[in-house]
Amino acid sequence: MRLADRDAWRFPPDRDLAARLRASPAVQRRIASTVAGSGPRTSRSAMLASAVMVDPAVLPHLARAIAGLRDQLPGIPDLELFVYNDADLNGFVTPGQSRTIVALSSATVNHLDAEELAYVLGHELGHAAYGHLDIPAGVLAADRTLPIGDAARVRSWQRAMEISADRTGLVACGSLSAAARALFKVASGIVATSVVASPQLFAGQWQRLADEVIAAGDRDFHHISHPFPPLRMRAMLLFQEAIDAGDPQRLSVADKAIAAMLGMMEPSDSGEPIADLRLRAFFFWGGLYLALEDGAVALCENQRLAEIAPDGTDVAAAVAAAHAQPETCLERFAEAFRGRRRRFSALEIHRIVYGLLDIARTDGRVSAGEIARLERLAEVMGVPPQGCALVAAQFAKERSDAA
Amino acid sequence: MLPDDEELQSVLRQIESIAAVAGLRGSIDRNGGVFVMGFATDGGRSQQVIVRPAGASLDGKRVITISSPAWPLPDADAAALTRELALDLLKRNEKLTFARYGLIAHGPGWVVVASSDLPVDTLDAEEFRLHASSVAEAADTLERAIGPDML
Repeated sequence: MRLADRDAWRFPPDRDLAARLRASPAVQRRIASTVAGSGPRTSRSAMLASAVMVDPAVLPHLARAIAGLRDQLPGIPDLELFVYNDADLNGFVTPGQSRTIVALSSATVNHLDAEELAYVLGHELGHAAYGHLDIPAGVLAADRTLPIGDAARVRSWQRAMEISADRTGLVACGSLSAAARALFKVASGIVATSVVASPQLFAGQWQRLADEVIAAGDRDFHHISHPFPPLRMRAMLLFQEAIDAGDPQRLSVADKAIAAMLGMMEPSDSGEPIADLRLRAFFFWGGLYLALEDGAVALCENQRLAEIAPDGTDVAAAVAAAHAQPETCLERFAEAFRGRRRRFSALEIHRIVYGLLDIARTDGRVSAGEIARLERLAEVMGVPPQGCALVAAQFAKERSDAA
Repeated sequence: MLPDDEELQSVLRQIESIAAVAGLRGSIDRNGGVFVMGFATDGGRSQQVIVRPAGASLDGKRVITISSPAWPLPDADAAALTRELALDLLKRNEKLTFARYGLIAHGPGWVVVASSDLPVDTLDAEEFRLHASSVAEAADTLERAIGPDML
């Protein structure tokens, strides 16, 4: 992999959200007022006043590292690297008027080895190379007058751009282990040289986090600018596996999985209901209950259920057991509903009913029997029969409008 | 800050979805930028209830306003709203739960409405039903005090 090929593996939501933000009149106005303000002009002077500029004579190993990356990423305006005094492991990149400024904290320089530094520098330069600096995300995120839709998109984009930048960091250092160590040190603050951060174990923490988020019903992550560190590690692992396989389709599948993971940090009604990892148990058990309404699970229904099954579910075994006792699906659905620690909002319940209608329509039609079963599932969630009918009418109309 | 068009349509759909889950029938009036429902109140009366996006709260959460018209004031100076009646409405506000009386511009004149505000993202169906019926009841109570079932 080469950094020069970065556009081929840029995380698609990063590109798409950046395009949407650039097209927003409200965002354009704010970018114009930010450029007219003092930001870019003062960044360099602030760094020159308070930090140390990296020079081959002063910090030769850093100067070599940045020079090497500069050669692989032509097109970034004159790069200058600074080191500032701070005990926290951190770094950032910011646009100067005619330069690109990368800054690392002293703790980062002191505690990361050459490979780990290459990851961090590659990550920061990735932001510059992808044009992330052209939209002042931090300024926009703090702007309370920005329309809510744009404000939400800014946060979503911030998280998506980190995935792209992690990829350039990984390619820059050429080592998943080094990337894992760097991310682990930044996340934990543990900088001992004996740190051995297994990418697989670190990424495995993601599943525990996901299970906890689902059980707790937390929906308050959408204001966070960076993805959870275990999610970032899992995303890098999926990316590396896809690249190693040499199959573009595999990367597309990985990107879809990563987008679904990031969806757990989005507001409750963001994106397609079926893609919401937080609601998979409902779609699987409810979907299986609906599919068995006619006594059999069709092939297309089985494929759909396999796609949405919660991680670790033995789909074949679950389908076989449900054939014998379909009501167990209703029990598992009810268990999942009662097991959530935080009460469901009306929008979440709507997503579940709407998503189940989508699953019911897998075979091309929603039968009266499936509606009757859907009403039983909805009753578990406190939705009256007329509520079910209203959501079904909304679903039918929206599908018809979209066709 | 009031929503732009894309945001407006998105919130209207959210309102329609919440109303559906609550078992409340209504329809989106895209031109008016509102969701409209009908409520039956005591004594065979009825009340129109309107739900509209109302921008964001101080902490950036989407807010909706549920309102119901109670008393039209056709004159630009709202002459019919005497000082005594205005004080009476303020006193009634203190006794109301999940609704308040207010004044909104309507054409050349004004309308006294009953209304309530809610955050949309965390709202549950029961809360929505409760606030909508409280607003309808408050508007109908005032209407009955003033005259026949006009609205």
